[in-house]
Amino acid sequence: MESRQQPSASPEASEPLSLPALPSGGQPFASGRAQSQSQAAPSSVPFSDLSDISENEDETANDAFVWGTNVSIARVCKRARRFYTTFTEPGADEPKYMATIRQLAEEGTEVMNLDCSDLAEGDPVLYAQLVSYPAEVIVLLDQEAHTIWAHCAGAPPDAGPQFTTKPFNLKETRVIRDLMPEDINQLVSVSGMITRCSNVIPEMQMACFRCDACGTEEVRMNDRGMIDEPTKCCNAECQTAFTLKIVHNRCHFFDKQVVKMQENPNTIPEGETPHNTTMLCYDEMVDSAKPGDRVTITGIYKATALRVNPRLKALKAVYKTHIDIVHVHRDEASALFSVANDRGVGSQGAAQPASQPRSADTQDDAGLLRVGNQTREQIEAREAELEALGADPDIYAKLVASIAPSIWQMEDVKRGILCQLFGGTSKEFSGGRIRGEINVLLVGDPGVSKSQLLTYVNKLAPRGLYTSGRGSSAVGLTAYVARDAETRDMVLESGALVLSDRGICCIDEFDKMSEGARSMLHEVMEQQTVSVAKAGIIATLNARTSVLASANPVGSRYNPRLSVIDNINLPPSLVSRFDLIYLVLDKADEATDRKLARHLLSLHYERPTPASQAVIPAATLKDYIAFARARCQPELSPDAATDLIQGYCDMRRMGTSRKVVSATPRQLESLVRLSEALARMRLAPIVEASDVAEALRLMHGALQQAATDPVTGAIDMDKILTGTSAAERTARAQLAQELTALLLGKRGGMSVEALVQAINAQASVPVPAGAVRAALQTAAEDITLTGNLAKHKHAG
Amino acid sequence: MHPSIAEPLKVVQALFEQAGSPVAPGSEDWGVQAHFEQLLSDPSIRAQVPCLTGSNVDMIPINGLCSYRGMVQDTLDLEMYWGAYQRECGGWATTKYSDCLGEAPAAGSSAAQPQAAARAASKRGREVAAADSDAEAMELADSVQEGIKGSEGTEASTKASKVGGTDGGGANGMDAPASALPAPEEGDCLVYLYEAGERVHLNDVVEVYGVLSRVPELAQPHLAAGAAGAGHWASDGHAQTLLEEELAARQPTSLVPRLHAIAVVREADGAGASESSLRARAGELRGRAVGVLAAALGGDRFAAEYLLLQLVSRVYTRQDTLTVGPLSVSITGCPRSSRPPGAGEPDQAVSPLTAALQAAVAALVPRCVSLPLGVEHLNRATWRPAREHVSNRLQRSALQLPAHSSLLLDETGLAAGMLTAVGIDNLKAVKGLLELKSVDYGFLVYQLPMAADVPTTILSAGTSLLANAVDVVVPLHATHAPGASTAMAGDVLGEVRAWLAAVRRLNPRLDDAHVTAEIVAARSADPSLRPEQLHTWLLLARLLAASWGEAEVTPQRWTEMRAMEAARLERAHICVTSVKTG
Repeated sequence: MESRQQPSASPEASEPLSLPALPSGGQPFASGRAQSQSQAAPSSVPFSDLSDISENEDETANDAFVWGTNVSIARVCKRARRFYTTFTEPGADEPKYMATIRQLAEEGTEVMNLDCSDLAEGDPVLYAQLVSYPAEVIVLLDQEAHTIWAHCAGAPPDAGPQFTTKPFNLKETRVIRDLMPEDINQLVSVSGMITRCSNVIPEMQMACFRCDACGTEEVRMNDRGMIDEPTKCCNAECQTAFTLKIVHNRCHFFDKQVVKMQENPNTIPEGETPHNTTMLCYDEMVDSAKPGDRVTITGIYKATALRVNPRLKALKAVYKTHIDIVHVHRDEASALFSVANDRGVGSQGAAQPASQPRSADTQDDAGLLRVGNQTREQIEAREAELEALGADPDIYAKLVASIAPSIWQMEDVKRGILCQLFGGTSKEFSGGRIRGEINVLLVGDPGVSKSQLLTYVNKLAPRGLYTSGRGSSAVGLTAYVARDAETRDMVLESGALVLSDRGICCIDEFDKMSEGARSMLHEVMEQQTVSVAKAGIIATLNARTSVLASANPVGSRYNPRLSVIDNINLPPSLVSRFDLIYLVLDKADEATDRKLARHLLSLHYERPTPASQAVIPAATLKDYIAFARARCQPELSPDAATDLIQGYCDMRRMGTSRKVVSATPRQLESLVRLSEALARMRLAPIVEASDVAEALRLMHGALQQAATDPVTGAIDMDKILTGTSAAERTARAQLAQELTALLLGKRGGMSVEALVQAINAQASVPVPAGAVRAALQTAAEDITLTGNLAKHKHAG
Repeated sequence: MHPSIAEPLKVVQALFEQAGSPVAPGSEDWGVQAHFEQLLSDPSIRAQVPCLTGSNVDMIPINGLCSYRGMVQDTLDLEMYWGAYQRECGGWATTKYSDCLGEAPAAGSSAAQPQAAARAASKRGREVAAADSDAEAMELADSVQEGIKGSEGTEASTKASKVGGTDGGGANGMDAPASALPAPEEGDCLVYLYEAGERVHLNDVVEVYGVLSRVPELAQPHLAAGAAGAGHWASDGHAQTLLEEELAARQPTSLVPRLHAIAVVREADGAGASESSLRARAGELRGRAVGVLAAALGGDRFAAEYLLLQLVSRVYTRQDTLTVGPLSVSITGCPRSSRPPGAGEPDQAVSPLTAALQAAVAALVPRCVSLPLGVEHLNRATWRPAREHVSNRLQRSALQLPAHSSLLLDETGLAAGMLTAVGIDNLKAVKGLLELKSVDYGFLVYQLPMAADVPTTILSAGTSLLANAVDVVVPLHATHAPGASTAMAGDVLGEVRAWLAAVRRLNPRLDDAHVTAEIVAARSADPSLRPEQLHTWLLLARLLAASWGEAEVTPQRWTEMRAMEAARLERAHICVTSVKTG
């Protein structure tokens, strides 16, 4: 602010004037500061005098009061000084704000953020005064900070930095519609989203007029937005009328910006539309928030009588209200995210570094600045609650029951989606990065609630985005260059995948997606970045997105005669990027039908039955996921690692036929991710062997691998119901019979290869070696029973 | 004329003084509500209150009491006002229900000590823009329903014909100057609500009794902004202090009249009169309703049955992603509306079938809106309600409908063409309305889903674009040319309307044991039955019971529902095979 400049003894005509004492009104702080400086100056207390500050003690007669109140300026100063010099955080060895003041002075910064939770703890009376008379008290705080600095540095009182105090983190954060007339002229904290920002407007704070006739200069201050232009020279000898001209370069201006804020979507009552408020920010606060930012602002709520026409003085019955911004804090999506980020546990899952307002960048140490929508106590209470939830031994079952309770069954799919929501940890090492995001593909007949599941995940996931393959183009998913509606500049617009960075992107009708858009997904799903090179903009954007896609099988209906891969009809390179592929098929029997009926009926009741009610409410679930992702970075235990290797080897062995999804190194990574996600659900720091077992089961269960006939690759519906395939049973029995017949007729040894050849010579369809080996096991039993050809056993 | 109607503010002031001029916070109401509510409960006095329409603003005296009927289009920010001020004589005067201080605020005292004289006993006011004046709606309702003038509260929304009108607002996206404020639509009205604000929600249909206010000074800044000319704001960067937003919020009262609401009556959910007498004639009234619908559908009573079920449906429950009711129906096999290609506005108007059906439905339920679902129409303007960037008001759009409005989508005029981004978004919005029963409203930086209880019918020649999103698909079997209407005596029609309104409030119970047994039996007979299909059955069974005025789904109704569904599937099968063979 220009007032910091030293008053020059003989101002040149081109130099701006130094600010004299201002009357109240105009800009909120500058004016107030000057006013109280002049008033408080005589009453300034000796620095060492920090003794008792009792309100009933008779103060000296020269005690000045804040206009219209019984708040003594001297007492406020004393309280501020006591607070600054004595408030110490537990564990710290130096008063917090003394350290801050020193640090700021060293850095040459003048913006001092004051955490009001400290103030409420250290001096509740001063806190109450700050909230009730912010315009006056903030200025006194500024002044006191400077006095303390001057005392410590031994500098003269006029020299050095002029601190600007920015209080934040009030006890109560409100929404726009709750601002009441009682709040006018009080310090309020309001959360919302920025919708529009005006250009920066230089507003005249002090105007200098010079008389053309005699050269006398006269200074007028901005009084409530108006500068009263003098019509007559003030020089007693001149007194000429209408000779005063404004001298622009001797005037003072400050930056002003009009900002509109709209309520957050989650705070709007049903059947209402969001409310808006106008806010003004000055000088260093200008441009501290951009449209689209979620912010919590602290400021002074002001009301001015509405004048329809600024030239007319006629008053209306209606006030116009606005907020003078003191402090801006940009919120991340969830308060818990920013808390977690503060502790810096790890990179994965934690929100991006909470972007502090520009003015606060220099003061970013030891959680000095961290703020959220809630008070620290509330957050701690919430954390304890979530930790207690995580300690519940049944947490996994509870979570499964809480996911999309209105969707019938599909328990395993829900488990897979849970894993996706929690995610694994991403590992970064020199030269690369292994993603921790889990991708899930749902394949199934039309109308098996796939879309509903996607919609649900979209609502639950942090930064969830929902798009349909049919309506998505490659640019719509990644990024495109567009012309901004307001500024007409070319801007890089993020598509769905970039927007859901660190979230889940739900893509419905994945199979309907154009080839180009799908090929673009290759990069996103493994490297987790999007590269754009168009219209002169070349960029690589992060898209650390989990993809939840749903697709219909070829020909819309699942064909049980074809293999799974043939049914999906997506390029294998893309299919292998999905950690879990679920076939959503449906089967009927009386017990499940009864359950289904009960489930459907519960949906039709006004009040759902307890069974269909989520065990964990959706809001808590959302918080729990965010909390787990931010706090818990599980690592593999040695046992778990051994099990993983064993499980992977088994899977490799299984996938001998080309028609089933064979295990690739990608699957091993998937297994690690799934195990980590499962550990995360329990908030456990170590991945246990049980997590690995469940991960293997999930991966096995996805794609119904247990039910896949290894010969044809098709899914045997009998197998889903009974566990073994009818066709397989009869086929194996037949083959065993043939083998027995062959072996019984032979003397001496016979290799498996020879057997396979012999069988194939008889059979009309080629019989694979694996089937022969399996049948030999069955046959071996018969052979031992007959007992005389023991040497021929080499099947194993 | 009653003095409370001619000069309501004087009555308010008198009541204020009578109550001892309370200026302390928390004493907002000093008997004004009670006084006017008691007054308006007398039908003879209520009849004296003039009704504000788009055309008669100039004929109603300033500061006189008048009524206005419409849908709440947007709820605006709170405004604060001076509660009371001191007059020169020393007495206090209230400013409630008025825009200006009644007189020049006491010269001497006010100028010297504004704070002391005008005590800021300020309370919160609340602004609600109501749109969709009933006047046009009345005309429309009358013109399509000859002979039913006697029926109560006939009203219909006329938004369908107005969709194109939002183009003016859309100009912002292009290079038009930012000061080009969208012109307010005729018949809109700005209503200030005081205590009643909490009870009024978005998209409610309300009847407001209030004081008409006129503020001529408002015109001046608009004039100045207009005179500054195009490009004024763009070039003069300094002036861009979001002033245009202020201007848009304060349209001249000659364009948008202002009402300070004293009493607000929400649309009654049906008359509720002599329900039991109607119940005795359930079969007859139901038959008449089906008759009206069947006549419009070309004599297809079967399809009309399904439409009737739709008309008695509403949202029963909402649970996360699943909403039970209202029923959405797709009627296929409608005659393709033949229009010469290249005609001026090919799919602006709806086909004769849709028009006839709209008339029939509008005769039976409070509101019915039809929308042509054609390429050009989809591309023309956005159907999703959204706050306009400059004025920060919700723009009128096709899918902003009050609860229980019937929506007819006319797909018969659909021809091949390219959908733009706007068109795709509109289709998505309709799909969301059908599947989630909610519409995402745009609020500048985010979209907010708003619940929409809008039973929807799609009329198409072949399979509808949105066939997957609707509950039932009924092929139409018309015996004669659709579009004929049956005349019905006004009083009988009134009874049918009352009956439908009454049964719509029913919430028929399902018998757990019976339904479970039925579902298990059905599933074992046909394992391919999807839960969604069963879900539709449950809904249909409930609606069928409701349409007979029964509070419980009896086994008989369940069997009837199964028969209806079987017949419907049979029809669909015949249609498919006939298409294949033919």
